[in-house]
Amino acid sequence: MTAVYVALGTIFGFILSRSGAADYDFIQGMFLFTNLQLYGIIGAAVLVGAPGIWWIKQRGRTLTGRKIEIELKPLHGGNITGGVLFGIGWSLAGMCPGPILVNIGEGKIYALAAFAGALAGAGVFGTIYQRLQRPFALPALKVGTGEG
Amino acid sequence: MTIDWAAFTPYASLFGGVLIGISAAMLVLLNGRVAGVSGIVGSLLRPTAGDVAWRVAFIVGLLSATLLATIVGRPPTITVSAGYPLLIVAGLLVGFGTRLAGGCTSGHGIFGLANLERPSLITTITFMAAGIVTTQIVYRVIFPLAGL
Repeated sequence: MTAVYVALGTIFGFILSRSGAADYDFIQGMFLFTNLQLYGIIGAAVLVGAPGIWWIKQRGRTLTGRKIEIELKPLHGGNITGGVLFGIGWSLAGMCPGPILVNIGEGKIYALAAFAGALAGAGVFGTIYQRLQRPFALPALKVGTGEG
Repeated sequence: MTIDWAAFTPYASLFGGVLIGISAAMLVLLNGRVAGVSGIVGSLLRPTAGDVAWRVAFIVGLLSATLLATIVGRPPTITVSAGYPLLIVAGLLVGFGTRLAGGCTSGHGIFGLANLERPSLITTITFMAAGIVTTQIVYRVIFPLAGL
């Protein structure tokens, strides 16, 4: 079963690599509107994923027979603030989380710096979570869910 | 502002997007939950028993994607990105921002939108807008002023 997840990650990473999502220039081109390719890729992924996920929810079971437990992500104050911070970071690094890993795999040593920063940032969030929970009306910090 | 139409390959984009959509649906069909890269990695900072192996496997897949790219015969081109200090800061913003927002491009932008979740739509619009504004400022204001 583990091998299947490796394969899925490989396919996912391969497309990210080939589509330009892991390419600094492509990301800047997307945000500058000089290269529209990534908008098309994200749009196509959502258009295909939506009926796929709908069908899987109707089916109700995973391939191994486990119950489908898709939890809706709640709306909270962190969506906008976190989104702004993430958007700025994505633009400056030219990498979002998936492509950071893909870039490391591609041998781009500098992506390790972004990875270290991202782990530290996630760690800081975990550390100060209790202070952020009330002002941002954050949901309980769940462990082991597949959120985001 | 000119759109680089040579770099816009609609059919290849469509194909890549379709593959991402299919692999996203496959992930749900396998583990019964929606999941994005920032959550898959981030949750490893607070691991729970029985919920580690698939995450590590998926990350191994992402990292090894380039191996497949090389076997297929077209290794990725390596482009120069931002400097190390900026990459670490940008990484911090990515790590902290995605945890606060509850997801990244994959979790909110692909899984969340494909699952028709309103918080994901709000978050996706926010981080895309923040990325657009940041890149526009960097490339159309700061760089010209600095004579770059």
